[in-house]
Amino acid sequence: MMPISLTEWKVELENTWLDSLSPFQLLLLTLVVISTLMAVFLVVSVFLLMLVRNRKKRWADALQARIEDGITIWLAGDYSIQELIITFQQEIKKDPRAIKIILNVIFATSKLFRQEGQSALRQLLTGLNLHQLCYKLLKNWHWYQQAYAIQIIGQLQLEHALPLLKRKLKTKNRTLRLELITAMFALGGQSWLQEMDYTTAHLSEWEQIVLLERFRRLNIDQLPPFETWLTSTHTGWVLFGIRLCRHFNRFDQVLELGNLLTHPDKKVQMAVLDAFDYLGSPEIVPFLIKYMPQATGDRLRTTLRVLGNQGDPDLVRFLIPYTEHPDLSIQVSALSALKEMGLTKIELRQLSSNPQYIDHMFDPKRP
Amino acid sequence: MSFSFWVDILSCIFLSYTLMLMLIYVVSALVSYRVIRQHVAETSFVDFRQILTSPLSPKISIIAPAYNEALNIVDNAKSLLALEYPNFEVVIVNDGSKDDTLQRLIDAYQLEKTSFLVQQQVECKEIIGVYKARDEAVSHLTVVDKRNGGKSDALNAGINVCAGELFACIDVDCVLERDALLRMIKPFLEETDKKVIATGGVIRLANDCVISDGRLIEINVPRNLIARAQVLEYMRAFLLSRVAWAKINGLLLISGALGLFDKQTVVEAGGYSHKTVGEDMELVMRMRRMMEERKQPYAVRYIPDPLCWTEGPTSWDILGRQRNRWTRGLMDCLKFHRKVFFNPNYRTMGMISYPFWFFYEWLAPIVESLGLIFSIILWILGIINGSSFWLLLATVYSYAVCLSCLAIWVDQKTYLQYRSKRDLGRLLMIALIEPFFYHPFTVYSSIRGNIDYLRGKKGWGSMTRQGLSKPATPASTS
Repeated sequence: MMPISLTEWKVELENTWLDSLSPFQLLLLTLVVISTLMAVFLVVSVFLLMLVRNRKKRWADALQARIEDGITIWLAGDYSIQELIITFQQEIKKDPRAIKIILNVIFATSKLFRQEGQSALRQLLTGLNLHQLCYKLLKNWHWYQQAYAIQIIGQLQLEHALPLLKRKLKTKNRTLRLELITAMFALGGQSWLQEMDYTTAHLSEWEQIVLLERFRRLNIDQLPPFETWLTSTHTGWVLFGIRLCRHFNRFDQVLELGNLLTHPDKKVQMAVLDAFDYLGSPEIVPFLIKYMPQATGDRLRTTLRVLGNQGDPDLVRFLIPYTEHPDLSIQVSALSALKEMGLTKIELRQLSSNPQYIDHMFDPKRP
Repeated sequence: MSFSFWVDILSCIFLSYTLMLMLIYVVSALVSYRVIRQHVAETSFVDFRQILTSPLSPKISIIAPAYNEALNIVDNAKSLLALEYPNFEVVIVNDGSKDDTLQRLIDAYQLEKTSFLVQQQVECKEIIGVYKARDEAVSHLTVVDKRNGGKSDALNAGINVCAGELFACIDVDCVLERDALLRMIKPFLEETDKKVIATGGVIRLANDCVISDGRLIEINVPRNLIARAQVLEYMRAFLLSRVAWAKINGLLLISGALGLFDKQTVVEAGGYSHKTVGEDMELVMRMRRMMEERKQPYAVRYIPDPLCWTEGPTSWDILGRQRNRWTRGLMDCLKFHRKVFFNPNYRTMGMISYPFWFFYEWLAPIVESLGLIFSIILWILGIINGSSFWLLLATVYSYAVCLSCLAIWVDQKTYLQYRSKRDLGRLLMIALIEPFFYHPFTVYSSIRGNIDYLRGKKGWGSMTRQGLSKPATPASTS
C-alpha cells in the first residue's frame, strides 16, 4: 500500500468520516478531544512536576547544606565574614536561584539566636545586600512575598525598614497586617501602630490570639497603643485592648476596663470579666456589684465566680439572692461562689432548695 | 405528538443534564484550586503551635461514639488524647456495647464513676454513668456509658455531657492529624461579621498506609482496587468540589468522620436526629435552616488540609451497603428539608445547594442509568447510529478520566500526598479503569438505596472493618 501524506490523510478523513457527522456527533467528538487532550496534559504535567521537583530538591538540599555549614563555621569563628560573603556570592553567580536559599537559611538560623547571634546574621544579610532584596520584595505584587519580606525584616531587626512598613499599615490583607504588627512590635515601632486602621478594619479573634502569643514571646515591656483601641467602634480592637491588659497584668487599667462593662457587646463584657478574674484586684468589686443585676447567662455565672474568687465574706449578702435564681446553672454558680467564700456545707444546704447540688459540690469525685 | 418528538425531547433533557453537570464540575474544580492555593499560602505564615499556649483558645470537646470497639478502643483513645490543642477534652460515648469496650477503658485509664450533673440539652437515651480518670495526666478524658440508641443518640449524649463551646464529632477509629484541632478552630476565630456554625475537614483513605501509635507514618495508595478507586473518589469530592461549595457558603454536608460544630447552635437546632441514617448532613441542613429563618449571618467553613484518615471498605458487599446507606440518608435529608427547595428565603442553601443535591447527587445515578438505557434503545431501534452511541460513551468516559487526572494534579500542586512514581502510576491506572467497574457499582448501589428507601428500610446495616494497621477485627456500627 502506498503511504499517504498528512494532507491527503486529512482530506480523506474529512471526506469519509467527519463529513458524515451530525452537529450532535461533532459536539460529542469535540468534548472527547478536549477531555482527552486535557487529561494527557495533566498526566504529563504531573510527571514533569515530579521530575522538576525532585531535581530541584536535590540541588536545593545540597546547596542548603553548604550554606548551613558555611554559617556554622563562620559563627564558630573559623571563617571571616568577607570569606563567607565571597563564597555565597560565588554560589549566587553560579545560580541566581541560590539567593532564595541563602535568604531562607539566614532567616531560619536567626530564629535560633538572640541579640549577638542575630546581629551577626544581620551583618551577613546586609553584607550580601539581601536587605535590599527584602525591601524590594515589599513592593512585590504577591502579598505572600511581601509577608515573607516583613517576617525577615522583623526577625533580623532591619530597623531602616520601619518607614516602609508604616506605609503598608492600612493594608486590607489580614495575613500581611498580622506580620506587619509583629514586625513593628519587634522593631520597637509600637507607637507607629497608632497609624493602624482600627476605626474601620476588623481584628479577628484569631489575629488577637496569634498577636498576643507573639507579643509574649518577644518579651518586650512597652505595649502598643491599646488605650486608644479600647475606644474603637470595632469590637475586635476593644477586645484586643482588654486582652492586652489581662496578659500584661495592667492593674492600672482597672478603671477603664470597669467602664467597659457597660459596652453593648456581650463579648466585650465577657472579656472584661475574664480580665478581672485574672487580675483579681479588690478594685474590681464595685464594678461587679453594679454589673450583676444586668448580667445574664454566662456573664452572670462568671461574675459570680469572680466575686467568689475574691473570698471576701462581706460579699456573701450580694450572692445569696442568686441561690434562688430560676436558672439552675446560676444557682449552682452562686452556691459554688459562696463555697469559695467559706460557707460550710450546712450553711449552703440551708440556702438551697436542692440539697443534691450541695452534695455534688462537696463530692470529692466531682470532676 | 409523534414518537420522534418524544425522543428529541428526552435526548435534549439527557444532553443538557450531562453538559450542565460537566460544567458545574469544571467550575467547582477551578474555584477549588484557587481557594486551596490561597489557603496553602496563608497557612504557610501560620505557626499553629503558637496558639498551644494561649488561654484564649476556646474549649473543644471531642465526642467519639463507640459501639463494640473493644479491640481498638484503648489505642483509639490514646490517639485522641495525644492531639495538640491547649484546651480540650475527649468524651468517648459507649453506646451500650455488647462487648467489654467500657471495661477496657476503665482498666486502661483507671476510670471511676463520678457524680455528674447531666443537662438534657438534646434528646438521648438514659446515661448510666459518667467516668473520669484518677490520673491527672488524662483528666481530659470522660467516658459516658449509656443505653444503646445508635450513633446520633450517642453523639447527643456526648453533647449533653461535654463542656466545650465547640465540639468535634469524630469516628472513633479515624486517625486525626496531630494539629487537626488547631487548624479547624481557625475559621471559627477569624470570622468577624458572621457566626461560623460548623467546619469540616478533608477525609482521606488510610488503607495500606503505615500507622503507628495512632499516628500516620507513611502514606501509600492502597493495593486493593476498590479502596484505590475510593482514594480517587475522595480526592475528587474533597479537593475539587467541597472547597468550592464552602467558598460560596453552600456546604450542606460535613462528614460524620470529622466535623467541628458550635455547640450552642447545635443545641438550639435540637442536636442530631434519630430519624435518619444521614444524621451528619441532616444536622448541617437543620442548623442552616435555623440560621436562615432567624436571619442571622452565618457560615459553614471547610479546611482543605488532609486532617482525618479513615478506612474505606475493601469488599463490594460492604461498599454497597455504605453507598446504599448514604443514598437513604440523602433522601431523608431532602425529604425533611424539602421546604427550602428553590425557596429564595433560604438564599444559597435554597437556590443553589439544595437543588444541586437534588438534581446532581440524588438524581444523578438514576438519570445516568436511564440515559444509558435510553441510548441503548435508540441504538437498537436504529434511531441513532453506532458512532453516536460510542461517541456518547467516549465523552462520558474521557470526561471522567480528565476529572480524575485533575484531582491528582491539584493534589500534586498543593498537598503532595502521594509522592512516589509507583503511587502516581497506581492512581492514574485506576483513573483509567474505575469508570468500567467501580463507578457502575456505586450507581447500582445508589439505585438499590432508592429502592430500599421506598420499601421503608431503616438502619445502618452491619459494617466490617479490617482495622488500621491492626489485626483484622469484626465490628458493627450501632
